[in-house]
Amino acid sequence: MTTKPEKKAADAAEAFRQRWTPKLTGRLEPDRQIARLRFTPCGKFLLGGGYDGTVWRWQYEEPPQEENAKQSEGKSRRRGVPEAPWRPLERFKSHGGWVTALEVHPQGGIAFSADSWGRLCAWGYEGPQEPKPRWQQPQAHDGWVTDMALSPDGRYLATAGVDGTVALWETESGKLLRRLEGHGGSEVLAVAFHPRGDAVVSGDLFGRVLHWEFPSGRKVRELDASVLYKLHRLQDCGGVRVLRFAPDGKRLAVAGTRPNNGATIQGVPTVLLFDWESGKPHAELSLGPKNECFVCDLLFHEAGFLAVATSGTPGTGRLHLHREGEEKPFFTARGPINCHALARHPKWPLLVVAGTNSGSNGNGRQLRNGKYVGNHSPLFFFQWASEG
Amino acid sequence: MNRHPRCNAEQHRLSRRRVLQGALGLCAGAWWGLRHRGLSAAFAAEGKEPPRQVLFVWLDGGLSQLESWDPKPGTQFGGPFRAIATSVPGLHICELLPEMAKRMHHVAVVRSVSTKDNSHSAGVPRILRGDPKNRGVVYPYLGSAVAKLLGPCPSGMPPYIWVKPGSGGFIDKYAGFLGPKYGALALGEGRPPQNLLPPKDLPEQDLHDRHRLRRLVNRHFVAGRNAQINDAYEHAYHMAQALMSRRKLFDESTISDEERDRYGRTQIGQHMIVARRMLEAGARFVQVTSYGWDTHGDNFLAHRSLVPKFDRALAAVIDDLVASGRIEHTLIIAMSEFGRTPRINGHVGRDHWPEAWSVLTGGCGLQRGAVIGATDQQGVFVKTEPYDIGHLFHTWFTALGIDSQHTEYDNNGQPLPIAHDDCFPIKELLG
Repeated sequence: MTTKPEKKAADAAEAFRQRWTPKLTGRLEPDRQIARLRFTPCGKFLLGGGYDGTVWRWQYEEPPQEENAKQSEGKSRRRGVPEAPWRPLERFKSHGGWVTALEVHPQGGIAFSADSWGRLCAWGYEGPQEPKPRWQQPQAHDGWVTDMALSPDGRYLATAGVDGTVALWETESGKLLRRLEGHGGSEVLAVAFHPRGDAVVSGDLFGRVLHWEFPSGRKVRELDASVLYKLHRLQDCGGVRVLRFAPDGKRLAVAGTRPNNGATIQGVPTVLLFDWESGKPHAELSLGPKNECFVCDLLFHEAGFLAVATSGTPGTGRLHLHREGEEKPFFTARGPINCHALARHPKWPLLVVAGTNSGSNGNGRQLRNGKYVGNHSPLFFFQWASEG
Repeated sequence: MNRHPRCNAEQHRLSRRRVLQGALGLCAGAWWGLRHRGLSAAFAAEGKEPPRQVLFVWLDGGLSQLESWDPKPGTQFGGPFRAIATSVPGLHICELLPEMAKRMHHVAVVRSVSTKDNSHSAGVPRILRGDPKNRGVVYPYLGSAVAKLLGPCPSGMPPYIWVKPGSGGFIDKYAGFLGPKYGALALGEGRPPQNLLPPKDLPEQDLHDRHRLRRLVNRHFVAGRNAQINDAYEHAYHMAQALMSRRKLFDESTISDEERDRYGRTQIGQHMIVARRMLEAGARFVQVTSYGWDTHGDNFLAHRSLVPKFDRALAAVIDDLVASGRIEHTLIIAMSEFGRTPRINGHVGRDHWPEAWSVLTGGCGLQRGAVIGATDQQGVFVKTEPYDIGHLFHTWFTALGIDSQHTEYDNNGQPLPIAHDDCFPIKELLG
C-alpha cells in the first residue's frame, strides 16, 4: 500500500520526468565520427572534434518559413527526424590523428582543440573560411591529448595526455605555465577545473584522481576510483574517462566503466559521485548492464540531473538523463546509439549528442555499392519544452 | 607386480592419459645446462650446422595491423596513433612499437597477407594449419608440423613446447593426423608440468626399477594395439626424461631482475624469457601465446596497453637471439589469426579483417629488414600480390630447409603435401 508521502514523492518524480523529458527535434549527418562536441557561448556555432583530424563547424541558420513547412511535411526528414538547422562551415584542419579534446573560451571568440598526435591549437571559430590557428603547440604532449578543461575565467587551460602528464597553459599566449607529473607515467585520460578556479583534477588509467592546487600545481590529495580499472591478462582496462564538477562545485563526477574483462571489453557504465569536501564517494550510478560499457561524456544540469552518453561493447550505449538520488535514469533516448559526445546549448533548452550510425560493426568485407565505407556520427538534437 | 601396499588397482591401470601424466610426473628433471652456451659456436667447432628452431608468438584474437606493422596515419581509418621511423630506412611502424622500431633490420614484415576466414572458431585452426586443401584429414598445427618434419633437436628436448597463460599439459589434438606424439607440451604460466619431480625420499634404484617395470608393462600393453599411441607414450616418457635433466630451466631464482625488467614484468614478458630458455635448451619449436587481442571495443586504448608489452618482450628476445648468434638458425614469427577492420565501429573498436593484414617474421633463412607487399592508401585492401597463409607456410618450411613443394607427409600410405598445393614460397622474403 502506498503511503501519502510515497505518493507525493512519486507524483513529484513523475512531474520532474515529464518536465525534463526532451524531444528529438533534429538530426545532422556528418560523414565522419565525432569525438567531442561544444557549443560556443553565443550559441550560434556548434563545434565537433573529428576522427578525421579536423574540427567540424556548424552555424545556426533560422530555417525559412517554407523550409519549416517542408520539414513539417516530412520532405527533409531522415528517419522521421528533420535535419537540424545548422549549416556546415569550413573545418579547422591544422590537426593530425583524431581531434580528441575541444573547449570554447567562456567569453567566446576562441576555441581550443587538441589531437591524438599531441598538437594543441587556439583558433577563432567565426567566419565562413577555414579558420587559422592563433597559436599552436605542436608537441603539447607526447602523443594523444585525451582531454582538456578551461578555468572558469578562461585564462588557463589544462590538458591531459597519455604521456602521463597534465599541462597548464595560458590561453591568451599559449605559453606553458606548468606541467604536472604525479600519475607515475600512467595515461591521464580526463581533466577538469573546479568551478571556483582554485583546483584541477586529473584522472588516469588506473582509476586514480589527483587533486592539484591551482595555480601552484601542488598535489593536494588522491581520490580513489580504482573500481574503474582492471588488469585483465595483459590489458589495462577502463580508467577514469570523464571528470566533471557539478556547477556548485560540491560534487565531482568520475566516470568510466566497471570493467569485467578485457579484449572485447565489457563493463557497466558507471558514474561515481564524490563529495568534493571530504573526497569520499557518496553515490554510484550504474547506467546499464555489463555490455553497455563506457560513460563517454556527461554534463550536470542545474535542474538536478546528469546527461550521460554511453557506448557499449557489444551493447549499444545510449543517452541517459539521470536524476541525482534516483536509482535509474528517468529518460533513455531511443534514437542515438553508441554515444560519444554531448553538448548543451548555452541559451536554448537544447542538448546535442553524437551517436554512431547503426550497423557500425561487423567482421570482414562489407561493401556498399562496391565501396568500403567508414562509419559516422549522426548528431541528435534534443529539446526540452522549458528550462524552468 | 610390485604394488605399493597403499595403491589400488585403479591407480595402476594404464590408460593413455595416465601414461602421459605419469611420464611427466615421473620426470624429475634436471633442467639447467645449456643456458647461454653459444651453441652456434659449439656446433661450428664440431663442423655441424646448428639445428634450426622456431619462435612462434601467437597474439590470440587479432592484432590490428594499423596499430602495429602497417600504420596509415592521417587517413580515414588510420586511428589516433602516429607512425615512427625504424632502423630500416623508409619503413615506418606504429608508435606503439618503439623497441621493435630499433630492431626492424633484424626481421621482415609481410604487409600483403590476405586470408579467408573472419571467425575465430574457424580462423585459428585454419591459420595454424596453413589452410591446406581439404583432403578429408585434419592437418597438424605449425608446431606439430615442424616437430614432425625436422624432428627433435639433438638436445632431446621436447620438439614442440607451448608457453601459455593458464593451465598446461600435453595437447595432442594439435598434431592432427600425425598422431599424438607430435602434440604440444604446454607449460601453463611458463611453469614446468606439475609433479615433475619424484618424491624426495624415493631412492634412485627404486626409480630405476619403476622405469623397468613401466617398460615391461608397456610392452604387454601395446601388443595388438595402435603403434601410434604407443609411440606417443614413449615420446612422453622421453620428453619427461629430457625435462628431468634440465629442471633448472624452470628455476625462477636464476632469472635476474635486469632480465625481467628488460623483457617487461608482464605475462608476455616473463613467458618470453621461458621461451628463450626453451630454445636455448634445444626445443625445436617454441610457441608463446598471449590472449586478449580481440579488441572489438576500445581498440585504441587496448592496443596502447597491449602492444608496448608485446613490443618490449619481442625486442628483448630478438636482442638475445642476436647476441647469442641464434637468430641465424631461429625462425621468428609473430602473428594472429587475422587483422582488424580498417573501419572503426561504434564501440571505438575494430572487428575481424582477414582481407589485408600483416605478419612479422624473420631470422633463419629470411631476408632482414624486408617489407613484403603493400596495402592501399587507406589500408583496406592489398594492392600488391596477396599472400595467403599457405604462402607463408611454404616460405617458413623453405627457410627451415624443408623443400615445401616436394616434401610430403605419409599418412598411413596417403601422401599429403605439407602446405597448400596452389601456394608457393615468397621468394623476396627468402634470404
